[in-house]
Amino acid sequence: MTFGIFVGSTPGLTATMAVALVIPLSYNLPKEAALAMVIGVSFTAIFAGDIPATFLRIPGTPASAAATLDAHQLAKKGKGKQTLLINLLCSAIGGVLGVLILMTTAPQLAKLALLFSSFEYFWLCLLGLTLGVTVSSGNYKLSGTLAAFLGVLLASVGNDVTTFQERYMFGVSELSTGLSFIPAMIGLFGVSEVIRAVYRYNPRDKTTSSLQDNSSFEVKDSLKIIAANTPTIAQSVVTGTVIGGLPGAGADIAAWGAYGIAHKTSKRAEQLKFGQGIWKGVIAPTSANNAAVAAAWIPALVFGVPGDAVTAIVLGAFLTYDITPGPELFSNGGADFIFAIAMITQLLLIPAGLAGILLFGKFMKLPREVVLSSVVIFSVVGAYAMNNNQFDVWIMFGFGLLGVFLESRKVPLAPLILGMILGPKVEMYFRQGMIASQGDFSSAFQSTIDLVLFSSLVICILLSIAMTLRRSTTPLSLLPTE
Amino acid sequence: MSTDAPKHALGETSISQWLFPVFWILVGSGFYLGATTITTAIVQDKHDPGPAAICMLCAVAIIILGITQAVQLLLASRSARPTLPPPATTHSDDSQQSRVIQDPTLALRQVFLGVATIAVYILAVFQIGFGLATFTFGIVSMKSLGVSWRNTLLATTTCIATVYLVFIELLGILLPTGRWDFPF
Repeated sequence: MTFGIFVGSTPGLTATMAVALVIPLSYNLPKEAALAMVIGVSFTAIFAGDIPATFLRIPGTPASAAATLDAHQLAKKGKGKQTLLINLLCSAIGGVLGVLILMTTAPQLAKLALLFSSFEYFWLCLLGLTLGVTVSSGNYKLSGTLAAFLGVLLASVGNDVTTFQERYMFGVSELSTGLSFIPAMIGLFGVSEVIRAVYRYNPRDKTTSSLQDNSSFEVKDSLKIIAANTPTIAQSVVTGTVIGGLPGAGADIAAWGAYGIAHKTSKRAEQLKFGQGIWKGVIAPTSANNAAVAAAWIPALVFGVPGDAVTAIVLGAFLTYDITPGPELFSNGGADFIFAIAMITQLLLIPAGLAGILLFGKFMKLPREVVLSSVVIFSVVGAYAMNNNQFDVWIMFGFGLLGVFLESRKVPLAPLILGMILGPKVEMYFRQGMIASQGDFSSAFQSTIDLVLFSSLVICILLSIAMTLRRSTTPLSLLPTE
Repeated sequence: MSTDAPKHALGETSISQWLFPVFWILVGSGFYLGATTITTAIVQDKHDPGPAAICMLCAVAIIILGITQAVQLLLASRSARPTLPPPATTHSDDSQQSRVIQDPTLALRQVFLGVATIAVYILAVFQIGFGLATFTFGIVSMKSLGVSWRNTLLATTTCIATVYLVFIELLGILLPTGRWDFPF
């Protein structure tokens, strides 16, 4: 959790990067300890992004961006520590409620999963991939769709699992096992961010935006504010859980969604104060983002379909931990351990977060350049440590360059990751289904679950197209701009 | 932004905007051609679509979408309607704006140097060992970004010490020692 606070509170380092960097550290640990480490990091990093967002107006993680406006305004009014205390408590509340929802709904969904065969999983994974593209791409759905297809193709590199035929290896034997996922993620999120920061680096810019804050936590007043905003918290937790449970959505989209809904459901006089330093503007996104982190585990644990980039990385590491998502995880008690760790993490978040607010505020005073160099060093080590393989480090580097190029063209990376995770599953289940049905694709539309999932897929695509056509006023709106 | 930066009239597009649709068409074409070299296995079930099916499907989809982007760009270049501003990204560092405007040429040069430095660092890790390569990289990168000598040495040694304690001592993971087998 300390590592999660450290990474999350460092601008430029994301929760996803925190998890990607900590997974290599967990390989030599017992399975339970490794899970506890990863779950602890993912929850605490999401909260910790609020620390620099409040003091420096720089979100530590994308999920903190929604809270930045109001949090920083409140800090300028001398309420920095109080804001962070409220953030912390709302994050813990959102996380606890999110885990409770996870605990109550996941086992029921596991029973449903027993009815799934190859084609049901095929439609589900395809739906997950489509949702991830439509939810995460915003105005750039075309770019997001392209990124998803590219992710599927990149994941196909290596020996085919079924027939062991070589695909896109070009005689490079190191590619026989494909492009290692963890180094790819470290490159996409870690190295690309460093390169982007180098692009923005201006040696003449000596301005700093640090805020000297001598306020106190104002515990009683903070608790009164939280009590007065209980409806907002409840509404935001539901929003965060629904959005977080959608594959590909993630805590950042959940946070913005909750912020927007809180704005829309507020009285007119309150709506005008959003962005100027209103407590709702802080409470809504922070409650939603931790609930979303918990909800992202629902599709991950039940179906093996990641809910966000963090669970996508963790699912990749599950193979090393010898954990297989699905109904068996619930019948053999494996999920109970995960629920327990997640709940304990929420409770420990409060003391860990308080320590983070006090201690790691000092770290923010380190030059950003030191942080960037450190990220490169830890990225290289993290990529190498997985397989003690030099080639993995070069994969990390290559994906770093790819991440820079794609983000410069405003191509979202979440669909790319989803394509890499879900693409092989879509292919595998489709081919299994075709073999089992002896080439009869109509078998993919036979069961009720097939029809429900297929209909959901069609509705999702049609709605997405309709919203895009309605929103765009010119074809250029679908293209990245300079 | 440099005052020499080209200003585009309403509806005009720069050459760099064409780069992206062309990129996607080339990527799709490359993957499609690569998929045609994937052979059918002897043990493959006759109802199995095969390892090349999804690759070709995705490659064709990328080509089609890339052409769609190019067509949209062409239509936009002939349109007089104003462009929409890009949506605000949720990426953490996009919210941080430098108050001193940076020359794009200088920025690109910084990027090339940064990328080259990282590539040289990775090469050096496997040639001269992790410790020496990291020490050198830390000093070169931080000094070139304007960090003081004191902070550079402190941060570099702290990073190396942390990696040594966590990876080598705690987790027992061996890091590269290079051609000449340096101890660390």
